[in-house]
Amino acid sequence: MTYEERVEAFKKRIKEGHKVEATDWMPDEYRARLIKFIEMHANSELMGALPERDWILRAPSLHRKLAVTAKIQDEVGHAQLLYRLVEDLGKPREKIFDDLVNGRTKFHNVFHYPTYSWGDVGIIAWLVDGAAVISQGALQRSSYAPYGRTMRRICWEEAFHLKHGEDIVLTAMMGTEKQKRLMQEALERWWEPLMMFHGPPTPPEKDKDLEWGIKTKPNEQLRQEYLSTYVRKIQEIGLKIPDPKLKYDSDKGRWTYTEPDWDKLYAIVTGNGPASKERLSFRRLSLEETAWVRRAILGERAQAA
Amino acid sequence: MSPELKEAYARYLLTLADDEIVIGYRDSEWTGVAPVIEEDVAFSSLAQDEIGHARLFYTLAGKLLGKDPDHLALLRPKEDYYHARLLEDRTTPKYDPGGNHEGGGDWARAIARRFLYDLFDDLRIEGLLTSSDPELAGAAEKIRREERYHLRHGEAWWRTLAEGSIEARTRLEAALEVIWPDLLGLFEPAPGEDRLVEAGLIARTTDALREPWLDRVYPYFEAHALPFPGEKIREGWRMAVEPRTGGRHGVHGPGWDELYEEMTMVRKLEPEGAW
Repeated sequence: MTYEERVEAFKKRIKEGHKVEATDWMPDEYRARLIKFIEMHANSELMGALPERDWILRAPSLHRKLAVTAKIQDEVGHAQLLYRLVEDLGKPREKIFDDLVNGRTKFHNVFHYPTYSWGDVGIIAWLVDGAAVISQGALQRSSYAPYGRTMRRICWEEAFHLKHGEDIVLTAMMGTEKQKRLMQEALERWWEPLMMFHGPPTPPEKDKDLEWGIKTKPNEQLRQEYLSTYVRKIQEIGLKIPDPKLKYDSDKGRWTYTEPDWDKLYAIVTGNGPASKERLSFRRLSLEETAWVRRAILGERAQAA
Repeated sequence: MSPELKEAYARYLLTLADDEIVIGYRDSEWTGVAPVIEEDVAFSSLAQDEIGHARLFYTLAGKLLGKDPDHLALLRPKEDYYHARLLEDRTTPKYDPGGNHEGGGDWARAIARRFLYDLFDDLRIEGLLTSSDPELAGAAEKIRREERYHLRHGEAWWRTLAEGSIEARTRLEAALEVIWPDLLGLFEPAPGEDRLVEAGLIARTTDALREPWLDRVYPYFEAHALPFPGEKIREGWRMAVEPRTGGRHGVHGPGWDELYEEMTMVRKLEPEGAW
């Protein structure tokens, strides 16, 4: 069989619903796309720890302090699981971090924004993680079996994050005017990034990650599912969504909304978001300051070998 | 319980709780920026344990003082916290939204502080297992189980830093030199501890833990030929370092100013509100 024939046979198997394991043969393009896709996911989990990390110290009760710390710990744990997948696919961790801090690889748009208040902590845990669960839920059926399995575990933990976030928002919404304002202002800051979260409405036939079965649902379908799940909940909790055009069109059976500026999204994820440079320089600083520790650990392994 | 005993007991419980909350807060800052991701997760667990312990002690103190644990943890005046000064300094870099991040993250200091404090705390908790207050004895029992894991984690890192590379060892030694006065400051007692011993609430005063602690930590220095600023003579340990005290009386440094400001800022928006 020629290489091209093997690739065609591989694609056919994927279309039939077969799953690929790490040790199976796979086309170079599939491997490269997997690395890129999962690496961005992993980077997002890691970079996502930074905006929330600022609020670990500031949590307003012991219960919240424990919950926020555990939540961020989960996110970093997810990064760890996902980086292992990337390592199994052939990219070493040092190279992954080097590419990340030098802007050669991406992380998700929502982690390029600053946080201003406790409101952001609630909105991120509830609605950003909520958006992530919608896409990660679909990734459980990825053609790459190890990724699908990891997603099942991650989604299970994310379900707790949503509860934690919703509880922060709900508690504040039942509190004083000042507390309610924290949440409303945070929602207004996060709505645009949330509408961008699932990416531009790329036609499914042009989406290579769909073609390879790495992801299983088109971007716009994910966004529609997100809106169907959350718009009513957000309104019921007493928050006002800052998009006058947002409504459900029952004739078309879909949500209509103010179209996000997709060029802006592209600029953000390529490192030009409002906090991209600050976050990356902080990641770089923390990596530099701890480089000696990694050298010491490797030294220990070298001596033992 | 006499009013004097009650006052001393509440003060002692707050001291325990403050130690645990302050190291728990400072260690939780490593979440997301530790040297290896596995350690982000591990250090975060340690920090969560400490905050949990603090909550137990604040709850006990709260019963005596008629206050809820969150009030005691987050709403006391800055000078009414009694943790040891060792625990209050930041060991991570600090994020600045404008991009002028503050460096100075020091994993060696974080590890040395955590491990040597844990060895102290283990001795202290041991002295609470037989407390005449069954609630305190019960809390000590629970805490001791968790602390065993902390000590194993600390020992492994201590060895890695002492033997992993010359660079690591140099950093460990430098960190130790800085923290020795504060390590000895751990043994500053809270006011009225003698009364608590008399009443059987605690087995030993905090200053009585100094000798057993030095006996216990010395082998970890000796095993790796790390400099130890003291020697054992017939009367006990003679240390070449003066302790830096004051923490148990609410005297703290800039590390505490910074931490207090951060940890109370959201709560103070609505101190009596539900969060």
